[in-house]
Amino acid sequence: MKQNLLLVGLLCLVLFSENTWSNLRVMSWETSRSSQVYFVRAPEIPMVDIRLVFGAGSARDGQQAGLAKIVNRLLLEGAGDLRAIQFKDRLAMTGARLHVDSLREMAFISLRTLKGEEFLTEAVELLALAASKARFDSKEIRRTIDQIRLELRLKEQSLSAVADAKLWREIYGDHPYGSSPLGNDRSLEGITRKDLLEFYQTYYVNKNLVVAIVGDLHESEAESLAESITATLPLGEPAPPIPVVPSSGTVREIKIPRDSKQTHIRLGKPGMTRNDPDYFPLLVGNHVLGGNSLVSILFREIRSKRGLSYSTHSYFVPMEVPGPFVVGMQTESSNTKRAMEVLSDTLKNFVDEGPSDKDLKLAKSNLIKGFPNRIDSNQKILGYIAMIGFYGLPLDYLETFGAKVAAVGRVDVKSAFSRRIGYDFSTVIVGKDFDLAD
Amino acid sequence: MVKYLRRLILLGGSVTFLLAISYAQGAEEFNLVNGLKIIVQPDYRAPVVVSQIWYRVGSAYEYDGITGISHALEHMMFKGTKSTKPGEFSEIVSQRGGTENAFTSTDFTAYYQQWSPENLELSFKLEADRMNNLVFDEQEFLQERAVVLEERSLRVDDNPTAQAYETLKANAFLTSPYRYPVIGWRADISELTVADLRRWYERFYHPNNSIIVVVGDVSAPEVFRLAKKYFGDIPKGPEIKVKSRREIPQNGNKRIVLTSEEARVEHLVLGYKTPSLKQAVIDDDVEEWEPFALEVLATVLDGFEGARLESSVVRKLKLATSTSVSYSWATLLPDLFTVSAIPEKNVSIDKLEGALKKEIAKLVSKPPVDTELRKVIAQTVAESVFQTDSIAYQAILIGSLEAVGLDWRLKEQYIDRVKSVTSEQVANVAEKYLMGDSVTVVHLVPGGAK
Repeated sequence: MKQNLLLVGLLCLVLFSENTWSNLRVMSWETSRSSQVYFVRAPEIPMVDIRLVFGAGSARDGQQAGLAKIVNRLLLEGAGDLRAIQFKDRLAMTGARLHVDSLREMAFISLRTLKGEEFLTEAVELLALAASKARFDSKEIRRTIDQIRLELRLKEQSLSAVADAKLWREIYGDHPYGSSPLGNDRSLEGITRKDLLEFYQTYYVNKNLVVAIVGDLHESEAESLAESITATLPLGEPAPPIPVVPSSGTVREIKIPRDSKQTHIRLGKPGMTRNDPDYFPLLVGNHVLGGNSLVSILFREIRSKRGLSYSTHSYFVPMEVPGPFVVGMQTESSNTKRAMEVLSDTLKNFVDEGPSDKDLKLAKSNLIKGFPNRIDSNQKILGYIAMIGFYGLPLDYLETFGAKVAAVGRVDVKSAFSRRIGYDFSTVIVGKDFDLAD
Repeated sequence: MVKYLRRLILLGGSVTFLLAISYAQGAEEFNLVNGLKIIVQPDYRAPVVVSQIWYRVGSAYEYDGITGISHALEHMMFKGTKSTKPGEFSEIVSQRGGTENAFTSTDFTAYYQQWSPENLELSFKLEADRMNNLVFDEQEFLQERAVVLEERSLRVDDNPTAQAYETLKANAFLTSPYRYPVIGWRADISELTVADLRRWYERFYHPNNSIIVVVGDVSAPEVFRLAKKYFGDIPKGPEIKVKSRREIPQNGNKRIVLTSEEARVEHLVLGYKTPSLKQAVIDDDVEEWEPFALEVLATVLDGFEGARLESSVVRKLKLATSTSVSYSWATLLPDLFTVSAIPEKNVSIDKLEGALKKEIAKLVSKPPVDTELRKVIAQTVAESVFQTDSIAYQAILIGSLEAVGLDWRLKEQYIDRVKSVTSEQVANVAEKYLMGDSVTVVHLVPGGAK
């Protein structure tokens, strides 16, 4: 096997099949102020990516859906002595990019900057300011809430977004995963500056933070950067565990009428956690079923054989407690009944029979040999180490990925799908008001 | 903020299109006697290679009645050759850990695989095969035509924003083929026949109408050797001549009110006809610096945090919730420079349009100051470095220039060209292209808003 230097001078651990490669050395340590740091040295391009991940997603919203989202957005709307526009002016002079996002569990702020001293110092200072000294000016709060209201309307305009949001609600009900990170018009109404500050002071703290760094830095440089970024954050406490998902009662079929050309279909139920004992059998099984884009069973049955849909897929969202397993497609409304039949037959057949040897081999081979594609850029590596840190996965997660996929057999997949997935799904159908019994 | 090329159809999403210099130097070019050009950019960061083949055909080559044929043909390229069954191509790639797909735009159709470098030979073998030996099975085609219609519904018919842009182009252009949507009109797609596709394939899929771009963990001489081995014997096709269908001048503005039952958000889009570097090369009326001045202008308006539209129309005047600007300097034909905005509630669309036009006029009365130009340069330099993080993007940069007949080496001059743009030049292009009455306006009105 050819030796490649993604990271100069680091270990090359080849633990599985010949064609794979995993000489990615992830270093990890704790800062003097109790934050976890994950670092990968990538000296080829003179740039640095830093992501600060807080356990501050919408699962922490409580009764105030949208709270986490607003707090996260406001990190970029003024910090320290700098009002929003002054902050943005300084950032623009560096050419660096600051980006924020908040999901159901993670909330993060990411920086991508050139390595040169004249850019890096200023950009990192702005990052630290944003994370620890956000201003929450009333004017910016109002503007940010207006933006989020607009995004809610844009989501209403997207049939797939409507279907997804409804599916999460249907699967999780009042569990913290059930509500949309954007909140809703009513919940946004009641959120005050005091609520935002309280959330910020509780969750944007060192003990609730994972720092991921990838770039053209030595370990010592990464260490001092992490120290300086975390120096002004309060120590705080880790976010409490997410409540368990209540066991599902009877599943329902929800129809949302829209005057659209297509009907969007979603089936779903609670799936798996990041540390799930069935993680690899479910991952591999899903790759066979609907994860492996142009060659999955769903692609074959729905698109290639019947021309019913442009895009069809299935996926797991592994989370702290079981995130959803989702199957989705869209089709001309007149095809809906037929599409539902094909979907449910395909799923039932897969759960009953498991994958064929040929399909299983194809999926495993794709996952194992395709591994280098998953870590071919600093951007992707950053995402992986942030995830490893946030969910407390072992440092060798990437190195052992191939071996664990290789060990999955047909029986493991079949057993995992019949125990964990079964036949009962919450169903959401968005489209023309048709009668499925027709 | 980011400029998206809305005309790109990509299986799996749109492509961010920020053109700038590649960080890694040392790309090499090689030409086969049958006219096939191969460009190789080594990048040794990871043991992967991306191999792309670009054909100079897209919706800009189409005409009334057959719109969408280039994109439909892209779908058929996965449906088997004389020696491979439908779908077998994808299975072979998947089995070896590859990711693959294809994308069609106004100006080109491109196919790619990304996988371990030892598979490059297989990429070439498979692509050479489907360049020459594609099978057109009637049944497979009818099935795939249904898929393409589903794709059109998904991307455009049920997407009010996409409809607004489709409407803008269709109305702005009268004689230029840029008036056609890349995916095609529904009626045209529905009436495409397998014979139409075969003719299209036979006309455009030849080595002399294609470019191969390879970026990754490879050596250029080895890539050239493999290219010669697999493509060298494919005969050169006939020379392709396409009528210019040059757009007639627009005198006066065009205004369309588009009502959509499914829209929930009001939207305003202004489109101005502007040249690209291609016109600067072939057209005496267009100076070579103009496309770069337009790039700088777009960035000054909306290309960084706190740029002009955000600080005035959004933050100070509170007329819009968001704004965006798009321009591309590397299109085959003159395309639209677009400025769009979503109004704040209770703001009239006329008032918003007035404010946007005032900001454009201000580029002439108050041309960019030194700090603004410095910000533009900071963005451009940083972006050109950031882009090198993706080998696929590096390849797209090279391919999209060559596909419109521009030299790929231009990408290496991009930063210097942007740096040399003066404040006066920005004012000049603003006055020349964005100030007259020749604008096309689309106002998307939510009909079904509750």
